[in-house]
Amino acid sequence: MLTSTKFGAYGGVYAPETLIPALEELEKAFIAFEKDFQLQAELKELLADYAGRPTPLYLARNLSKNWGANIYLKREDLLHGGAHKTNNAVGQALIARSMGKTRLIAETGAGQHGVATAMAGALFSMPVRVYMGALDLERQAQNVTRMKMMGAEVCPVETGGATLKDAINDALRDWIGNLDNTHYLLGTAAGPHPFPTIVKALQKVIGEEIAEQFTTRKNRLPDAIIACVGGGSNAIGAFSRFIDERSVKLIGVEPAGKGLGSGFSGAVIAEGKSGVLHGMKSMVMQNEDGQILETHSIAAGLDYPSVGPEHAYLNAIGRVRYDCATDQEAVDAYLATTRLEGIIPALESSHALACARRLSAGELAGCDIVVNLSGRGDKDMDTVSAYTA
Amino acid sequence: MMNTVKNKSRLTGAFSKLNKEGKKAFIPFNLLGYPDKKSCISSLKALVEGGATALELGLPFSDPMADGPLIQRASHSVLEAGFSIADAVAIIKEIRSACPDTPINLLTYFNPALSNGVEPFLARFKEAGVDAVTFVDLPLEEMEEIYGTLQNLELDSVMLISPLTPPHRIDEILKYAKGFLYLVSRAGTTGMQDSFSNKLEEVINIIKERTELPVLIGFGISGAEQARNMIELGADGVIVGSKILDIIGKSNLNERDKNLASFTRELVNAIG
Repeated sequence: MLTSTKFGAYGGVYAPETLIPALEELEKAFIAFEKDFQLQAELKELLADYAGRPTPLYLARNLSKNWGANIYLKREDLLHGGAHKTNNAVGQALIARSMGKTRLIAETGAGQHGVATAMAGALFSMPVRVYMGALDLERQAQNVTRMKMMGAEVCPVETGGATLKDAINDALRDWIGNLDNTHYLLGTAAGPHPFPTIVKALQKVIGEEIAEQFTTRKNRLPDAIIACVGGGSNAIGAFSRFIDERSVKLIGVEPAGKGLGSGFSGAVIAEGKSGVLHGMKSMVMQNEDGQILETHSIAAGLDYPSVGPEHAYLNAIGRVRYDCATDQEAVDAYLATTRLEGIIPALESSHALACARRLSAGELAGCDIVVNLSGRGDKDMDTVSAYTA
Repeated sequence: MMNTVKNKSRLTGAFSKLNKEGKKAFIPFNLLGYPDKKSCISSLKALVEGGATALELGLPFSDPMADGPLIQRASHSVLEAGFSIADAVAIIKEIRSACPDTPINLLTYFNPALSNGVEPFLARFKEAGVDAVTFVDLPLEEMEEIYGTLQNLELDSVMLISPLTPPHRIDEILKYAKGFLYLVSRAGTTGMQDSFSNKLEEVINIIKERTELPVLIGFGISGAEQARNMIELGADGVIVGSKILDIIGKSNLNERDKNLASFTRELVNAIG
């Protein structure tokens, strides 16, 4: 590898030998992509005119009044496709094209990354296959229809817990067998090097816009940035610009499911330990024999037993604080935001909102808090209705 | 105290014996605990009786990303039945005492080893009777993390090479490789698909120019003819995995071991 593969003790390339030449090829293409003015201009144009960047930073007036702090929403839910995933999918599709790849595969949990990849496939005329856990297929049916309408093939994954982890396994297996023509368009800042670095590079636009938009208004940086963390792509995108800005509190919110210690959570940093899964060393939910455990979250996009390696590192060095929110808290925040602002947030993003709500009543009372509203929540209406019934 | 073999490992011994006799190696793979603990032990004994050069034993893992459907399903069913690392160690102990001369290569994903500390994990398997270890998801980039421990415990490290591995990487891999080299027959997951990389002969030649370590080919080999073809390409032996699990899964209980032994004899004769 040409560039550093590690974030402190985490990251690396824990992948089968067969994948290594493909990861090296991808790393090389990514380095070239970052220096290529034409490709960068094409990316910028697509993000602006196709996807709708910059997304607004909205001071949520009613939430602020009710919760007791100034709540700014970074409106990634307004990005084309309905979530921040589009930033990464368009960028990686450009990299795939530059490598001469003609087929895209992806994993998806909530379906947002599947939708984003299906969009990129339609845009760049590449066939797309999306691996999706059978359980997620059921709970995010609306997104499955969207993917199919845009021409993607959606492959149900029945193994393991039939969720995101298992979808990544199957996507990796597909990739190992089709390296010649296929790019694995990984959706989160996880997996073997160079994926965590690539995904961060493509998502960091979120934090850069937050800094610019907030500074224009207030002539300083916000007090805190809060983002939900599954694999952690929206969070690393929102945090990256502020890592060296010590005055800005960075808070990642993991899914606590039915509660920490309940055995039904996805709070990997809170409850996992160091391990290797999906090509990276990071925090992993595992039993005493090192077998990976099933996680639980009401948000399919957070239902993952590991986390991007840079988050494990940022936790280890204490730069980012990792908090969590339960299913119940997330649903409460989903409903509050829907009713008070007329904005339906994704259940994933609702975890960040729930944490913002809690901290607004305590240590961040009266502060300027930016919550990364990573996606829209139309996809979750059935889940929330069933939960509250 | 364990019996340490002076200088020469069981694997090296087995290969130099084959070499003298002008024979090739046949190494069957089975998943530890498949289909259950007792049957696994008796099937491994049957494979040795049939003439297996060595045994490759896989530690079941919840997320076997390099494995095809057969080994995935077997892994999940073994784990669902409550199989633990302690059970794996017990099986190996029993095979070691029943087959004192048969080399054993442990094939595992990295996380079970990392989970409770690499050193205690490897020491436990060494003491049970393992001679060599292959980590599926530990390429040379991450080998430093465990190589010293393997050396201290006198465990051979069997390294994987794929048909896509370029020559300069093969040079680096050889710095860590001991016992034999495991050449994957195609870019893909394990399983019985009948397709092999057309670069195999070229890769074997590149390896042979650089080392005297035996080169064994695995992935997708399920019969005598394919095994013979691999030998003709220059391999020193073959590894058969999914087909073994397939035989176990399809045989009647009372015929299982007989079928495994006769399959082994057939393969051994074919590559003679």
